[in-house]
Amino acid sequence: MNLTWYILKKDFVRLRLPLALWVILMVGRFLVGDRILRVENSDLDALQVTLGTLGAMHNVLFGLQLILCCVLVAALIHEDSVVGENAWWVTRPISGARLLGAKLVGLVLFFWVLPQVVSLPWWLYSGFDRRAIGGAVIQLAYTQAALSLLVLVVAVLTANAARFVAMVLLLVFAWMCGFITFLAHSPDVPLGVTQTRALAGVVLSLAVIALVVGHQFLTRRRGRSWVMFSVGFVLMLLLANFWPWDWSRWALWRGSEPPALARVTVAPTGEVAFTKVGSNLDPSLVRMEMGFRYVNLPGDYSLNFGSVTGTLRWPDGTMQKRTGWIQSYPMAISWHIMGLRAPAGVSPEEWRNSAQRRGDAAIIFIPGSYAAKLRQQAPAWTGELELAAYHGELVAEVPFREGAADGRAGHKVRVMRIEHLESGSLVVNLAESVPIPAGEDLPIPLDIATRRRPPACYVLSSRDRTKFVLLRPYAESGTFVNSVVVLRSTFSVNVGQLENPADPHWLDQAEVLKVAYWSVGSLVRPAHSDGLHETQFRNGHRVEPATAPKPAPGT
Amino acid sequence: MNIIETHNLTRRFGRTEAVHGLDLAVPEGSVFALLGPNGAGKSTTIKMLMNLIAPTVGEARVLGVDSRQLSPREREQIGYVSENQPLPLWMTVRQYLDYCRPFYSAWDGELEKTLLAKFELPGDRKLQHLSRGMLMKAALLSSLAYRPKLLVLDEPFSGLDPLVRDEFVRGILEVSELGGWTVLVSSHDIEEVERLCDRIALMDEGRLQFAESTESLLGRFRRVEVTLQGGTADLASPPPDWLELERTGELVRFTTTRHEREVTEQACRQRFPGAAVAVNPMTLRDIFIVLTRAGRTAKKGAAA
Repeated sequence: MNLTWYILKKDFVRLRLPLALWVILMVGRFLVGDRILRVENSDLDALQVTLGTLGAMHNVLFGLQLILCCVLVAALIHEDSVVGENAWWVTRPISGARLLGAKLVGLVLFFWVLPQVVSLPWWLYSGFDRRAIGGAVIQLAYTQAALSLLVLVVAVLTANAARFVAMVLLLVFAWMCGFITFLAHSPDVPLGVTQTRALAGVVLSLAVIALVVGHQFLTRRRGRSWVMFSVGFVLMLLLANFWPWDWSRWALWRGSEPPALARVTVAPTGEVAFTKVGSNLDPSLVRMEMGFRYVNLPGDYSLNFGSVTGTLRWPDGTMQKRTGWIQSYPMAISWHIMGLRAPAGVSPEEWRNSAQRRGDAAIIFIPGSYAAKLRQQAPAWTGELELAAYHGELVAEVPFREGAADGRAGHKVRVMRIEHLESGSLVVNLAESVPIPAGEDLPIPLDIATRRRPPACYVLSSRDRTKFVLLRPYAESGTFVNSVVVLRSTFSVNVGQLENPADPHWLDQAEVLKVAYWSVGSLVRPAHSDGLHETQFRNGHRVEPATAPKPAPGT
Repeated sequence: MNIIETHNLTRRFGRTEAVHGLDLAVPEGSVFALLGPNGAGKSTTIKMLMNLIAPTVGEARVLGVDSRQLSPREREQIGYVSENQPLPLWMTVRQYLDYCRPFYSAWDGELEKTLLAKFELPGDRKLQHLSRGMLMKAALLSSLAYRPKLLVLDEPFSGLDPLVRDEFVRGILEVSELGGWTVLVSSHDIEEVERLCDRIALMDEGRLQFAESTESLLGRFRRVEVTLQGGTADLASPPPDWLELERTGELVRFTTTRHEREVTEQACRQRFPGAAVAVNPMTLRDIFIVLTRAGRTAKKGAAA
């Protein structure tokens, strides 16, 4: 073990200056992130320009940091190259296994642990609690692991930096060519299949990386390593484009659903609406929106974005099996707030359980001929819906005045500016730091690592907390700074519905509430409708057909 | 006992055969030179011995172990210095030695100090700022301080100016007095090899031409000059051990590869009656040139 540390120490001494530069870039991003949260300007347009500049500055630093990270990982490997005929270490009493061990420990310490240590003060400064820090650690480790492992596998197959860069460019080009070539063959892929492909891609990538890296370090037979890598690369391309099965329910640990949602059922409304898609691939394709309601959904939970699989069955025996996804409509006013915030005199539990049922729509593409058939004869539909579940949490209650701040669960919200418009509306600018639960925006939808950044809603609440008005964002500048979402959002709000003639100063007592939705797993529910009928509905609400004039009596 | 043995060792690069069926034995305690012109296959052979590349066919045993299976235990007993080996140039000499030391249980700190002083290496200077000669000395030091049983030097004199080369050879000679190591040197620098080695193998175009002791080699090669003094000369069908036979007027010259005084004189008397015969010893360099030239002439003849 001592010898492994000697190698590691040597690598650290060698890379200490670029590593320090890497850390400086990271700290620079923290400073820019903090500046984004603090910058003030009386002119909101000018503020947006400044925020844009700061955002661009952050992105440049981030780009440099990424490039430097790749260069450093490659340098760590090339320092004791496992390719070529003249490696120094091969002629010394250093085994390939020991060298591999030293490089892997270096990889973990330099590129996984070091950024965590450097980021910890930033997370604490951003108000992260233990849960938020845990999520940030997973998120950062996941991103760094993905980046460094991809670089690692290319670095072990190349002898020096120039060949490494050439190889990266070649692989990116090959991947794009392969993907574009295959893209036309899989135009409509259900979400579950896409998720399974992504997950299988991760598993295959890890296997190929482990195999190639291990083989190259232990045998230094580059030809065979290249064969393994090439086979893996082609398999990845095929998998990304042709994997047909949906294993997402098992593979993504979808089995565990929150106990609070055990009684939730899904009831189709029996109403469908059609929209012509005009697809180039299939001009007859029609988008079918099928309405359904959630039953027994507690008010502090929300169901969102998922997939649907089902079969249309006509009385004449015709069947059509189709897959689709769930369209979640934005809530006109936050049911969620209503679920979380009981009015005075009503117990929270009672209020929570009495929260209204909400509905969504499943979007399924079907051939036009079936839409026509459906209009003539109502088919039955039997299927299964898979839904992501979120639990709402009130994370900030900020007094509605400039400079006021509040936050919990890692969220920090500050009211930066309130502007009264002549129209009677208000413009509110908020500065926020928000934790990513673990893995927002990652390409691989592992549930454990990609619990989505909670969608949040902002509500201006009256003093008696019986009236709420949703803050609607019209400008947002934000960036991700090592698992912290740094946001400056500008909202407009029409406060007319909160006006209280009896209390002209009601606004001084108002609060901005922020509700974050935390991913808590997913649900799979069967659903059945005896007959689907065409109707019109928009945003989850049925649109009653214009009432036809009743025929005159006697006609 | 042989410290290195190869059997039918062959290495191909595509269609080119860099080493062909090499059978070689390096006895323990010898200073063995692998000679040959550029492209003879010396470095490829050494790379196979050091497991830097794999043989296509055949096997090599180093310290009794298949070269493909050399473990850190055997590596602790092998020193390797090559002109092509990239050293960690960003380190100072001291850092480099500090880094090497822990890997060798037999590292001799006193010997390290002795060699550092003998080689006049500045400990605080970075390797990248050392002259080529100094760099090779640093590499040599790091390969000697643990008293390896086998020291392998691959073209150690290349690119060194005569003065540095001399220093380097002197360094090797000095340390060779310190312990009973086996040294394998590959080089086309014959003068230096002559000073160092007690056994020599010649390779040309991937094939072993011969391998024997320096003493025996120098003893059996002679440059013969025959002055005809008006007599006749039978130059037809010369014996196979007469190389580069040529006549210039009254003077006939050739190199015999199997010199024995009586035998050479008798053969000359038969072919050149009444002629004056002068038999001169040859340097290793002369022998090397004659053999290389003869090999190429034979190849051209075969091709024609």
